[in-house]
Amino acid sequence: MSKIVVAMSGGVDSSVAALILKEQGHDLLGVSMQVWDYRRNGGCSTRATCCSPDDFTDARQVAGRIGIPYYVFDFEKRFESEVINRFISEYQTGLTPTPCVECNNKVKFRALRERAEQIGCEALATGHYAQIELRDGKYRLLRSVDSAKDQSYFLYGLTQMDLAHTLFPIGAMTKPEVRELARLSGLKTADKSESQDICFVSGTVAEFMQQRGIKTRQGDIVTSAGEKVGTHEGVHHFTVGQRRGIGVGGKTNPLYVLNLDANSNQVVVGERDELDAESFEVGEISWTAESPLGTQPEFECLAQLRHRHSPLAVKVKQSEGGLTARFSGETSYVSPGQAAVFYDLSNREVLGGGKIGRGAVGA
Amino acid sequence: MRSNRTNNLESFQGVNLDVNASWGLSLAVQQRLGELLSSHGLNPSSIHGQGQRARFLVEEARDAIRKLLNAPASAQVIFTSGATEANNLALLQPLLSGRTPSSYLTTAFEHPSVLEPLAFLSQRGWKGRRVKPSSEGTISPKQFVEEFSADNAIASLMLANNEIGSVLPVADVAKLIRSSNSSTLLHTDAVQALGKIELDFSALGVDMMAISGHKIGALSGIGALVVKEGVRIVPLLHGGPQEKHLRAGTENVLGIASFGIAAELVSQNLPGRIIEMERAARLIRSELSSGISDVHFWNNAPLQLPNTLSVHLPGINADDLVVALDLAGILVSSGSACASGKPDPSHVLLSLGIPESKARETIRISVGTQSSLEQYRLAAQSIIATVTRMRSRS
Repeated sequence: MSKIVVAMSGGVDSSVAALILKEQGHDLLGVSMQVWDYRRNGGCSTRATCCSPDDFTDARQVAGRIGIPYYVFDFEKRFESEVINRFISEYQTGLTPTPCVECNNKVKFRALRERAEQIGCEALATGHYAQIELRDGKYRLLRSVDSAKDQSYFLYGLTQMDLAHTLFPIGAMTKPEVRELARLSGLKTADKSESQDICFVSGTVAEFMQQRGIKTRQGDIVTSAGEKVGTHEGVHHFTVGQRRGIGVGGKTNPLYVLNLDANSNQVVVGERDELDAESFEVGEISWTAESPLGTQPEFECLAQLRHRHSPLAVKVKQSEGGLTARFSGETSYVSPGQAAVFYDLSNREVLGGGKIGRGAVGA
Repeated sequence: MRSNRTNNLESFQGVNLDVNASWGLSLAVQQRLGELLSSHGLNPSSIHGQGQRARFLVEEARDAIRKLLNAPASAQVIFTSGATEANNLALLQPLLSGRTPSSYLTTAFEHPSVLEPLAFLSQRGWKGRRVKPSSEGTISPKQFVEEFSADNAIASLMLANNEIGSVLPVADVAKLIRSSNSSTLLHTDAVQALGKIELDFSALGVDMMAISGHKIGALSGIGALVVKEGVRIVPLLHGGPQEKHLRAGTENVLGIASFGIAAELVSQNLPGRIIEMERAARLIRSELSSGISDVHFWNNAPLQLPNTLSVHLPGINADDLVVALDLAGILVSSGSACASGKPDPSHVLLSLGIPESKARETIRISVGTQSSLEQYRLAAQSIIATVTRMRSRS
């Protein structure tokens, strides 16, 4: 039997993933990824994080309890160049980054897998809430049975090659079931709190950018008609669709961020009915199994446009830079830079996805 | 069952090529400790029989250690929680004795348990110098003494380097410093030399020497500072009168006993052990040389420990190799051990002028006498196979 590396963050999900594989009789080892120096970067001990030194202590203890070898691998440089740098530059250019996607695509399922291979391991397991199924000769990426915890949105970049060597041992379990199993097995991580979405940002994004020495660039807040209604401290403080904290008062109807124009350094705001897009562009496309456009000029599917977003029906066709997706029913705003992930019409299987481009077309 | 192995050395069935990190509890020590466990008391200060028995074990151990070091009965052996405490006790003496800050002298490739207490002195106004080793990994007496100044309150020079195994001319340095009539305290960290070369405490001419139990097969958590007669020590720990008022706190009786037993076992056959280690190291070196193209060894000092190889493997990430070999049941290390998982490149290799990229491709192999020559040969073959596989994949 081939050896499996299980990525252990020190949380309950990856602890149970390791436990399950061990109980199934697999030969496995636990690995934590050192991606961020919490001490050097002013980590925060009061906030739930993952991959901090304390989390590694937990992971090591769980590995010892389960009876598997455990190591910490250093990926700080890779994480800095692939995830952090892109995160910063996207915010600076008015995009809303999805760093978990980059981390999965470039670090966890790339760099870690390469190192796993180096040490003679064929497969990688993680504690993600998602499932893999082999059907018609292709590996399919499916949502978790726990729709509230599903993480397939962040995993759309996995290729057939990746999926063939990946295991999600808890993908068919709900979070309460995972915790219960951890408790029954006496794992100390059983009741550990959830980690946050962006592991390396301990305060606000603006604070993080400041710590990184990114200078604020004041600019205007304008309406879609071009009327100046306020000033801002940098486009990276905003996300398209944002309503709270814009800092413009005295309007009868609430204002939303409609667009971030990094060139003119303007934040464009407007009312709710100006917000939604009719269609949007998607670039950096990755198909999980195969492109549905191979056999048809257009296809219909569901698009999830951010984490915890209920997917909406879209019609997708080829465009110059990638794909154009047009809402076929209910519309939504889109945040350029975020991942758009396509699911089949039953909302179960990931077909693929990409990054939302700037060219959203308003209603 | 390999898969049941965690960090339990007891069930460890592989080959330990990392004895410089820890020899592991030697079987003979384990056996004798087992016998003691059923009979000994825990507090050597108690007046009753159990206490007397514990006191006896502690004093027997002290004698066994003096014997291993060829140290006279007048030399004090102060038991500590390990060599780190022993080094701290020695190197903080200038501070503990309330001297006006002056200066100290050491080398650039000492263990952190020497460099850090000295850095602590620096933070309090002391001026320090770190002598850089030559590219061969040694420091000549002349070179060390050139940096020496009469106002050095303390000088610290390791007896053998933990990573590259070079043996330093401590005795010659001591002679030169003594001939200058200075009152400098001379300390040596002898952790890696103990049990690997013949030691003569008096002939070395140092004032203080730090040693560690688990490097020779005792339990971890026990060490000692050996102090020449007439050298006044101010304690770090204050409390009861244990260790002649030099280290308060109930003695770690089991640890001390294990140290004594291990010292006794080493004393019984040190020359034989040295030959055995030398043979194993030579065998591994020659196997690796013929099995791996462009392998290089950083062991070029005129005097070397018999058991230590610092192996440069171009194109191989040493940290990955350590893990891959661990999974194959072979213990080696890369640079200095680091719990955080973010290993810095070895400061020892860097101090020799070795570039960081090469330092990150270097593993340390340190052999003991626990395995047979055939097992060491098989381990070397396994290293060759692993390196070959890793190179073919990258």
